[in-house]
Amino acid sequence: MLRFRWPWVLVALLIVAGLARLRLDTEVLHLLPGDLPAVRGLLLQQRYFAPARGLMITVQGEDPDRVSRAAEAVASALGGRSDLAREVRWRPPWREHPEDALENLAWLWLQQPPGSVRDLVQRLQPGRLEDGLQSARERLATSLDPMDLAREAYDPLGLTRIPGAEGVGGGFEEGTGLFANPDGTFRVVFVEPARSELNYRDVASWLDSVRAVARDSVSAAGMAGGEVRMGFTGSPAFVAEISAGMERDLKNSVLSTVVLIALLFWMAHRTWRPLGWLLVSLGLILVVTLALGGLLFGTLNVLSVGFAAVLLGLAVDYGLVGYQEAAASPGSTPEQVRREVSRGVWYSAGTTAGTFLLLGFTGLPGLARLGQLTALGLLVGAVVMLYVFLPRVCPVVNAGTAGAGPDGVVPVRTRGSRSLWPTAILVAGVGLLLAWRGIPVLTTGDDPLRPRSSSAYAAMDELKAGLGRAREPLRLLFRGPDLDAVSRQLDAARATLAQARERGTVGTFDLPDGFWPRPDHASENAPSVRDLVLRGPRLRAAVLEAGFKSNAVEVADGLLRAWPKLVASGGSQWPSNATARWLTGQFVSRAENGDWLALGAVSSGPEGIPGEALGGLPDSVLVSSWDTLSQVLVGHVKRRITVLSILIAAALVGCLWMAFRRWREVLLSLGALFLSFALLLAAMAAVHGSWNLLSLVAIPLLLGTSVDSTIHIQLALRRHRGDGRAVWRTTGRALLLCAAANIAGFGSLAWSSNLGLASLDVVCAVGVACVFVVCAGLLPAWWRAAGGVGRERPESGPPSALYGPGLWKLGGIIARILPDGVASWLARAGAALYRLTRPDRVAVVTANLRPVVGHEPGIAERAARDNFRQFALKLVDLWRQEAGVSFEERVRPGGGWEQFSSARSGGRGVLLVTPHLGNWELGTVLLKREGVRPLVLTAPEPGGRFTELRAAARARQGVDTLVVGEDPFAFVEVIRRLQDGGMVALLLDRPPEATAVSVEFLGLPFRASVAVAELARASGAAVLPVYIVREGTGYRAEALEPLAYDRRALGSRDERVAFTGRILRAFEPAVRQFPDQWFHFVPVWHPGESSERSGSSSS
Amino acid sequence: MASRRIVGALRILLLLTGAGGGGAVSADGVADAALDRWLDAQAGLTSWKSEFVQTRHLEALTQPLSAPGTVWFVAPDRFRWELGRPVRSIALRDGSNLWMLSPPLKRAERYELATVAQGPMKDALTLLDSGFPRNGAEFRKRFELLQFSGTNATWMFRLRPRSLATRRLLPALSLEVRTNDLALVASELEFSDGSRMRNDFTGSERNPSIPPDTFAPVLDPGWKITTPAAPR
Repeated sequence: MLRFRWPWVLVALLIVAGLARLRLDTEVLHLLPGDLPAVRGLLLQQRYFAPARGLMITVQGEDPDRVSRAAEAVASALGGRSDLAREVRWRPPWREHPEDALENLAWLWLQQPPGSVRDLVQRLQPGRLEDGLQSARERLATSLDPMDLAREAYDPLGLTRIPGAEGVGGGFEEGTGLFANPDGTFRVVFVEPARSELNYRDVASWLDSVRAVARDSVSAAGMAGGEVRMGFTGSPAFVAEISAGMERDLKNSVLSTVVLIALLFWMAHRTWRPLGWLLVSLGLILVVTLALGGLLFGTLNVLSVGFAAVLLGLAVDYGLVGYQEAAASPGSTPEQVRREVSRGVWYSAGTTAGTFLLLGFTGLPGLARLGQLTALGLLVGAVVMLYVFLPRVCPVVNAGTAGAGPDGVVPVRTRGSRSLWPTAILVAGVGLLLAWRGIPVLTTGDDPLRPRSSSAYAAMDELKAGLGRAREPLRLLFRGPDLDAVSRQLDAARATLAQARERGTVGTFDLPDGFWPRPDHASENAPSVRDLVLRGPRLRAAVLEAGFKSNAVEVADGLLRAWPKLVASGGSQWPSNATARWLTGQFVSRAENGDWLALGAVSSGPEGIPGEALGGLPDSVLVSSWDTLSQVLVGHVKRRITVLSILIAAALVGCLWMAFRRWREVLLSLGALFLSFALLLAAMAAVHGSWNLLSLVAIPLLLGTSVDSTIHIQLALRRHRGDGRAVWRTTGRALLLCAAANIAGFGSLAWSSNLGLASLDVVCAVGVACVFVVCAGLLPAWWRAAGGVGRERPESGPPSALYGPGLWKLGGIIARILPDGVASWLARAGAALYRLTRPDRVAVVTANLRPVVGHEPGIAERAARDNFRQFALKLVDLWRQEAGVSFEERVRPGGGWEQFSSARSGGRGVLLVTPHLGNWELGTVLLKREGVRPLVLTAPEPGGRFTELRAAARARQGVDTLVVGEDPFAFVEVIRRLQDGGMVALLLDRPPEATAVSVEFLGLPFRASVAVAELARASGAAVLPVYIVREGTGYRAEALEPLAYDRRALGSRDERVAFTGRILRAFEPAVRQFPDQWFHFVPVWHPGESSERSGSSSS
Repeated sequence: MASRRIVGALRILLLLTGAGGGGAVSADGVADAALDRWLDAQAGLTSWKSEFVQTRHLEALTQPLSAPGTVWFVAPDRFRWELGRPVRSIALRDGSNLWMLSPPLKRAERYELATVAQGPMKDALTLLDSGFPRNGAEFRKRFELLQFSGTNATWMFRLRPRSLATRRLLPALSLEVRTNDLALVASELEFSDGSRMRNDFTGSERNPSIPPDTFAPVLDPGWKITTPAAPR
């Protein structure tokens, strides 16, 4: 019991640890490639700049005064709640602190290039000063520009005319465009949360509190809900909304998928216990995968949260395929069912998981994470379904409860038709539809990353429209280790942008260079500024004498008061007043590592901004914009999708080849996938669908997830020799359920809160339906029309592709170089790997050994496992022997070896007969010791010059080789050698077709070579059964008693067959004793045949 | 960006302290009828030319400033204001553009009217075209009649812009109309800081023939042209 429980305790601990670590990542930008400058720029803005982090409350109504009062009330109420807000602004800070403006202006003068300040000082020298004041009066009398009127009246000395500020674009910045629209009917209140490090649940709770306070404050101000409307947007609103959407998506999609799967299963099978186990298994898969995701990745994002439903829809396939197989084969043990389906399940899980993993190549981290989680889950799903679900449902099926209910599904007509008319009709329909509607195109208009229905996004759209920001400018992000480094970048950017503006390739641009600290300038300007301060009273007097009132010198007074303090502080930092702090918060920040960050903006020209317009910007400047992000991403992803699709297609061809080993079936699979994709395009065209950034990913995804349908169907067609009914009863119905489950999985996300995820999953769901229609409806006819099973024997495979001259030579080299222990360890590891990757071979060996070891569950499986290990060890020893390593010490004669000496003593030739048992080639060690040079009869080896390679190796051991079938007169030489008293060795089992006869072995029909009997009749040689088996690290050679025969009687074929059977059965005890060394990797039992007991005689 | 905001902040400080219109006085039926009559008469105006003297009572100056000028108008939306002798400033609208010219400095600023739906140039437009209403309903959407006073010779309408933004700069304006021919004889704009700008029109001509090139800026290569409010 301990052995059983501990793994489950570990799994439980893993689940708890993983789930505890799991977090939701609501940052949409984390879904995007961080190596793109556009994404990096936006991420840095979100992280470091106050406007991108705060909450924005929009207030709008018909009456500007009420809107203003409401905004003020909200700001006042929230401003009084220090537990909620660190800072609240509903109008520009300079409205509340007008005195700050003068200090900031004084600071700006201090940072100007010294030449500009010297010009100012010159302009205010006696003589020029009076002229300047007269000019100001003239302008006041004749200017038609309201800006000039305002400026000249209250600043006749021109102190507000800072060179760096000219030409930047005029405008009364009373917050219009930032805090309110021009007519005051739309306002924005900016709220900075009291705490910055909040998790998504805290953010949602915080937002609820802010909403309540805001609504209460508006009501308290005496305004009804209809008079002013409020909206909430900005980072906290998005986080709250997106996280709620993610939770909802996860719950709803999983729940709806599970319900649909349960419903489908019930409709098909009407049985409770398997359904219960199916749901438990799905739950286990989901929880284990989530836990693994938590341990490995730590977070779920907006897209990867969709993995759960997709995974359930795909993983349920493995259980359904197994269950259907069990239902179609009553009486089968779970191991037998698993053996039947495991190949398909593992290929399917492997290819699908591989495909999902390849989503990493899309360059979208959000999708990559979705792919990684789903891939992980698919492998978990395969294990759970094969080893948890199947063992528990097979007994139920065998008890007759499964499949007993009525068919809930109408079978498609696959009774063996070879007609291609349905295909032709479908192809024509698809072609016509695509010709009429056109192939769906890729659109970049809609943002697939935004939520489907979002009050926060709606409020943001209203804000943009209300404040006249329909077109967002491009943001420029500068980063440097110190202020000077950023300043240099700003200077370079200004030069580039000024040129671009001259050419008309950009519109306006705003850089914070004018408000950037320049300690060098401040230091150099200090004397000039001190001079102005000293001359302050005279300047004042001159203004008044020119006919201005005292209010016209308020600006000058403010500057003259501020300058001494600023000069004393050195001017190396920004002013500390509230307005300056707010302003710098808009465009200056510091990263954790101390880097300075600055934010600028460029608006586009009439034709947009061509790429080369910004080409001269410093490399370190990141250019980004939400408006252009979609285009940038599509360009980025489109290239990768093309490469990815090619990669997946190549991987698919490889996988299909591994699964089928026949090009015909590989091509049929590819054809089915191609037609399915065309059908999907037609379906999209029919509803005027289009591709977007995320749904584009469905192309490789569908390729990968659908390939298993083509594998399952064609393997089933093989298994059932093209019998459509049988294929439908087993695999077809299972695939229908699988397709329905997949559609449920993908389709459940069609209502996802994320538009992109929804579009991706709708396309996938429709695609799966298309694949099912083609695979279940058309592919069987194609398969039959293409020749069906052909002439190949059912269930007999070719020898392993690994058995060839190249790998044989390599093995020889490695075995010779490596120490014995290392080579043996590698051999065992190689055997284990091979067993993992070739479950079909394992199944064959297990089936071969079952009559040898009995039908107890698990015995044959264990014997098969040992068999592979022993075979690997045998190979190593064989390579070492062929490489010249001596086995003199390791091969010893067993108790019956004296039979060998007695057989030789009669002077007759000796036929050494052995089955594929142990390491028969090592017999040469003993034969050499006896001074015998035997002749080995062998079949041609596969692959070019492999036969010669092996023959040469034997020759070095003193053994001659005769390849049967190459020389029709070779047997004459064999007979002559035997008649001369020579020794000929040959294998008895697994004969070539020409010499095969069916005899009884272990109570079952078995194919053996009649050649021994033929040679005995022709030569009269003694027939000596021998075998050499591994014991520990050495080998023991055994010779059985020579088999007597009546040479004359062997003239009858029946007698030769009977003699062959006798020879073979002589080995039964040895084979039963050493099943792990009876090496057959192709099926050896042929239940359909009967052993030959009689027949016409021939000579 | 920052410097612009600082300058903007200063302007606000200077211009908007004490902003806000006076209490609205409901106009009675007589006033509305008078305004309607004038607006109806304006609807038949296809062109107009007048000399004027502009007098500016600025809060920052001890004495008012005066300058002569000429104005041309062609319906529906072309005008040319010239101020000073010799001409110091020209404002002209050629349909889709508003030009602010400074002949002594040879500087021209061009504003695309489609893009100045807000901001100082919108306010400038209000200053410049408030005397030429073409559509009564449109005029009433832009202005609210605060006060009306009339004599046998003239009517005086005191109006308030409905736009809050415009009102911050220009809380009120007055139009004086001659009763016998309903011609505009004076306009007075009141600014939020208490300043006033009055135009007294003389020698006005109703529906004269005005060459189209009157509204086209003539700029030789020596002029520096800027477009300060280009699209953002």
